[in-house]
This record gives sequence, C-alpha cells and structure tokens, in this order.
Amino acid sequence: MVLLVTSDNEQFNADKDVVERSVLIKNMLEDVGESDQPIPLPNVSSSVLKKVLEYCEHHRGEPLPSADADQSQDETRKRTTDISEWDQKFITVDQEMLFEIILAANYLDIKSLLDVGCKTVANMIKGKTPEEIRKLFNIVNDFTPEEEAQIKKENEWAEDR
Amino acid sequence: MEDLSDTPSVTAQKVSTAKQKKDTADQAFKLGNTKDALKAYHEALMYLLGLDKNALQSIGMAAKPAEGSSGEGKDKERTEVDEIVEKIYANMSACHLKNQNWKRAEETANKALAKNESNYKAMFRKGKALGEQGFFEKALKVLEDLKTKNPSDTALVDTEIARLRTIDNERERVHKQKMKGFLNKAEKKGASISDDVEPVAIESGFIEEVKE
Amino acid sequence: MVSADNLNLDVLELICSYLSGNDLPSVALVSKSFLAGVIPRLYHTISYRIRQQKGYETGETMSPFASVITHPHLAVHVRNIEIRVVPIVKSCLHPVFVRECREALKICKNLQVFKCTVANAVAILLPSLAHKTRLQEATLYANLTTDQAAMLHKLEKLESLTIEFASWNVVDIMPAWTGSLTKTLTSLALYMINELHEDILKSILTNLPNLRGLHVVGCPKADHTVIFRQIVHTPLVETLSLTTSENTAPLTFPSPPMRHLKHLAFDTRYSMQPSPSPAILGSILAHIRLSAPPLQSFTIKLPERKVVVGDPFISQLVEHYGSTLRRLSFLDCGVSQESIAEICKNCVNLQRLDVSIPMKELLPFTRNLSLSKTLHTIVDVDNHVDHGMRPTLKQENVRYMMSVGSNLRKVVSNHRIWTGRLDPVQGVVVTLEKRRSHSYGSLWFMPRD
Repeated sequence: MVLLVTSDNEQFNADKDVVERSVLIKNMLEDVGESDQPIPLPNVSSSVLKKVLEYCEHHRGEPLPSADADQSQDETRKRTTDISEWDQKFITVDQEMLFEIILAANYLDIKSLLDVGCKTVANMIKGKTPEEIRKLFNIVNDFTPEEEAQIKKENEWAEDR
Repeated sequence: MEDLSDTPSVTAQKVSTAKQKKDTADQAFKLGNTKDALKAYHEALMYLLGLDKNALQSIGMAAKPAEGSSGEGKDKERTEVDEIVEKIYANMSACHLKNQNWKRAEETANKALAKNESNYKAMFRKGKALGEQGFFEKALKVLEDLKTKNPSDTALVDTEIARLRTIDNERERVHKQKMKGFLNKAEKKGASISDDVEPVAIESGFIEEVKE
Repeated sequence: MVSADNLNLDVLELICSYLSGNDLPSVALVSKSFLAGVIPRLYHTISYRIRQQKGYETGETMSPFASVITHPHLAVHVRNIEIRVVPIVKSCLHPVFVRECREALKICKNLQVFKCTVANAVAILLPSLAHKTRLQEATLYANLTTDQAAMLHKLEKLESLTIEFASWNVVDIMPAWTGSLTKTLTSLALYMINELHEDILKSILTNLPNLRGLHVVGCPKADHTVIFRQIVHTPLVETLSLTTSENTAPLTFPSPPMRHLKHLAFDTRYSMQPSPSPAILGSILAHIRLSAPPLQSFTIKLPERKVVVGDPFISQLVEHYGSTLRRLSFLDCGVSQESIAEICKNCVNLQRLDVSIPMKELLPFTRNLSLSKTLHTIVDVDNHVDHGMRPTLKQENVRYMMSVGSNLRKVVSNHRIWTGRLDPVQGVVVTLEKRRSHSYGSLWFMPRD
C-alpha cells in the first residue's frame, strides 16, 4: 500500500500496482524504495485524484505503454480517436474536470489516461469553426484582426474544402 | 465548484519549496548519499511538475506567449521552472550512474535533454549509460555529437568512448565464443539455401535467419 | 477555473495530433497558444495539388512553401512534402513558386518523404534535396538529362524509391545508384519506364538482395517473364507488382523462391483476340504456388472496364490462396456474382474487397457478400467514370448491405465513407463521413492501408 497526499491535504491509500500506472510515482518508488512516508502530490487536488485512482484501479494489470511508442507511430495517418466504452463513460464529466484530469494525467505521467482525455477534447473540436471552438472552451481570441487574416492566408493551403 | 487553481503566492511557495528540496538533494549527492539525493530530487519534481502555465504567469515566471502571428515555437516557453527541472533530471542521472542503474540514468538524462538538448552533462551521461547497457553504436553517436557541440570536452569524451569500446569489444568476443559452435552448423546449412545469392554481410541478420 | 487555457504546449500538441484536415487550420485561428499547439501537426505534411493551385497566379492564395520561408521556425516540423502540380505561367513552371519551393526545401532539415510527380520540376528541385540525412522516401518523375541524373546520387540512405517515366539517362545510372543504396533500400517501384530492359533490371536487383517491395509496372521491356527470371536476386520480397503481357514464353524452372510473398498485384495488358492472358495468369499463379507463399492480398487491373475477370482464374486463386487471403482488389474490371460467392465462401480470412459495386445487382451481390463471416470493408472502385450512367450508392443501400447478416461495417464509395455500428435497439446505424481520398495521386499498386 502506498500513501498519497494531495494539495488540499487529503490522504489516499492505494495499492502499489494501481499507483504505479503513474510513471512519476513508479520511478520514485523504484529509485527510492518504499517507505511509510506519504508521497506528496502538491499539484493534484483530492477530487481529481479520486477520479484518477478510479481509472488506474480499472486498468490495473494492463501493460504500460513503452517509452518509444509515440515516436514510431506514423503521424501522417489519421490517428484513431476511438475510446473504449468504459473509458467513454469515465471521461463524461464537466469540462473543468476534464481539463483537471488531463493536467493530472500529464503531471503524474499516466499516458493512457492522458490519451483518453486528449482524444475527448479532439473529438469536441472536430468539425467546428474557430469561433465555435472558442465559445466551447471559453477562450479569448488574442489575435488582432490583421494577425488573424494573415494566419488564415498562410494556412489556407491546408484547408480541406 | 471550489476554485481549484493556485493563487500566485501558493505557486511561488511551491517553487521555493522545490528549490529547497533540490538544495538538500545536491548536498546529499555531494556527500555520496545517492538514495537521499534521489528522494529529495523526486520530491522537488513533485512540486515543480504540473504547475500550470497560468499560475506561473501570474508570478511573472512564464515567458510571454508568442509574438508574431504564426507562433514562434517551443523555445520561447522555457521558464525558470524548466531550468530547475532540467538540472534536477541531469543530477538524477548522475546519481543513477553512480548506482550503476544504467537504464534509469538514460531515462533521466533524456528527460533533461528534452528540456534542453544542449545540456552537455546530460548528453555525456546518456552516452555513458547507453554504452554500459551494450548499445555501443548509439552511445558513440551521442558522444560524437557531444564532441561537435562542445569541443572543450573532447578529451574527456574520447576517454569515455575508448572505455566503452573496450567493454563492447569484450562483450562481442564473449558472444562470438558462445555462438561459435552454433555458427559452424549454420554455415553448412546456409550453403544450401541459395547458391548464387550472397546476402549482404550483416552478421546479426544472418544469425537471426539461422534461428528458424 | 481550470480550462483549455491552462493546458501547456505539450498537451495542446497531443490534442492536435488527433486532428486532421480542415480542423487543423481552424484550430490555428483560435488563439495564440492553440496556434502554437497545432503547428507541428499542421506543417508535418505539405501537399500541393490542383486545389491548392487555384488563385496562386493572381496572388489570392499563398503556397505553403512561402509560409515556411516567411516563418522559418516552421521548417523543423515538415516531414512530408508532396508536389503533384506546379502553377504554370506562359507554358513554364511559375518561377516564383519554384523559388519558394527550393528555398523551403533547403531549410526543411527533417524532411523524410519527398514526392514530386510534375514533369520538369524534379530537375530544378533535386539540388535542394542533396544530403538530406533524414530523407527516407522519394517519388520522382524522372525525365532528367545526364547531368541532372547524376545528382540523384546525392539522395543517400533512401529506404523507399519510386521512379516514374524515367529517361534513359536515369535508367543508365540506376545500377550505380542502387549500388550505393544497398544497405538501406527496401522498396523499389519502377513505373512507365520504356528504357528499362532486363540487363539493367538484373544489375539493379543484384544490388538489392534485401529488397522487400518490388514494383515494375508499365515497363514494356520488363514484363512478367523478365520479372520471374530476375526475382531470384531478391528472395525476401513481400510485396510484388508486375505487368503481365501476352508473351507466352514459359516461365523459368525451377520457380524462384518467393516464400515471403504477401502482396501481389497484376497489371494485365492484352490486345489479342482471343488473348493468351488468362492462361498466362493461371500459369503465374501456379508458378508462385510452388513456394507456398502466405498470400494476403491480391490486386488485378485490366485495361478495360467492361471485361469480366474469368471465373476459372478466380477459382484457381481461391483454391491456392483462399486460406490466407485477406484482401482482394479488382480494378477496372468486373467480377461475376458466381465468383463473388466463391470468394466469400472460401476465403475464410477475407477482410476487405475492392470491387465495382454492381448497382443493378445489389441484392444478389449483398447476399453473396453475406457468405463471408469475416468481411468487414467494401471499397467501390468505379468512382471516376460513368457518372451519369451509374446511380450512386445511397445510405439506405448501405444500411441494407450491412444488415444482411454479415460483419460488413465499412463501405467506401465516391469519396464517402460509411461506417456502421450494431445498436441493440435500432439495428444497424450507419454514419457518413465525407473524406477526400488519401490515396489521391498514389499509384494503384503501391501498398496502402
């Protein structure tokens, strides 16, 4: 059992093989060895860690992706944004939690969870105009009209009319 | 929903805590205490990684977002935090080398290089770690590259290359010795597969074919 | 509030790596940070085709190369460049465009794939490709002079090479050039090269004993008889494409070892009436059979659309390779319903069928397809002709096809991709995705997914 402490000072107890889905934690345990001392996770809150542990618990025992897996992928091919049924249900959360999960997965280095989160965001973006994307995610347009026009012109070749 | 993001002061405190932990780690390493060093480095990382860019921006640590309409790319996003993280990984690599944990040494060196591909210490440690794991060709590539980028280290790097080469030669000698009996049988078999075709002499490839 | 605004660059890049097509330029306009995140994916592949050319002369549109030159930091992300068309001005290649191309090429240090199928453009662009250490794949329309051909030697370390419409000057240097590519080249395609004769092909193949893919198509002096004589030099070939002629000379005995052959494509040409072609094709299949290769895919293209591939040939194909075949392609030819049935019944691992969907016989066709328990994809291959004459496939047709007790889940027709999903309540639910064909411009016999 491993003890984790979140930013809001909540303690979580979890099995070693569950938390080791986080490569960050796995490396620490491997390098330093186990101890009774809790591992501080100052950049994750308890509500998010709860969700993350739920994911790790469900996927425990699955092989971890190798470090080189991403590089060898042929990037020209359209990457699939398919998500398994359980993962789909799991990631159906409000937008804020979605981004919290993504940031946490990035922080804790849980590649498969990060992929699920990013695929979900990508699916939300597909087929939308820039303005629709901004509205959806509440993003401020920080381009001047001139900049916008220039970008549009420079990237026009990539449009798939 | 409660506001989960950090205030500027909390972020600044995290960075400060991390710096302290790094100092502790550095001290421990100087004393040769790699275990304590690694522990403190890891804890420092726990505080530094995952600090979101808005939080950093609010304490004046983020680089400004790109000027110019097309975005000027990754280099502009380096922050002070990135620099500290880079140093931590580079030092962790040194710890792992000392512990002869070559794989972890390579991994941490790579992480340092991901932050700054011109970190010469990390390059050296990566090369060494590769060589010790038996990947001499890869090690050579990294170390040669290092010499080009930082000629002042040439003598040191050459010594390491020579050392790794010796290890590699020894490894090959032992391997050949083991395969000797196996190869002789293979050569006889090889003659009947194809008479007038000479596959290009890639030794390991030939051995693989024989394994069938 | 945590939002998309908090995401760091690495994460944004990862999200964008799941996007393609029109979504990329859309994301680029959202905000500065999104722009930074999409750039690697957006500039990974630069494809310049007919559509991109519109408006170039009037200055209404920019070439992607001009964008790269204006913002040199983009160059590091470019991995693939494909030029299918070059704007013309006064019957010449547009000099500004060419200059932009050249300058952009020079700074794209990470270029891995370069394709240029425009006559006369390769000669001008070749110098900019010299010594690109990461260049792995090249497709070139190679009508070059001797001096220009000499520059080809500077493309070192290629892994895959396609040469189209080569002049004799290029054919002449191929042996020496492939000699320097011995260690790296695994795929070679020679297309529509009049001057390619057996001796040269022999010299080339002797240099490439580790070749995995060999495609010699549309080269009148290198037909199937030549291929089967020279393929002894490349026993590891897994993918083979060749042109069959009406040369009835017997194939050499013993047959060359082809134990690794997985993909086979016939470009079948004939003109005699009656033609010895069916017999020739049969003898080729028998010849290959002696190596018992685990053939997974087979493609055949005939010269005219109205001809139906003979049932005996298909019977032979299915008999020999039915247990391993996963994919069959019948291009520019018809297939009888009896043969469809035979294929679906006996190719127990069949996954994909590329064939002209017979709109007038959709019911029996679908019935025959349902004989296969494993078939999941149908690709309609007759899109570009007879627009007025042929009714197009509609959603209800697709739904019908998918619901007749089979595993059919994907139908591609006329740049439309229909995917079906089995819903417990609604039955088969079909969704449509309009997509430009990825293989636009690729040679029909080259491997694709």
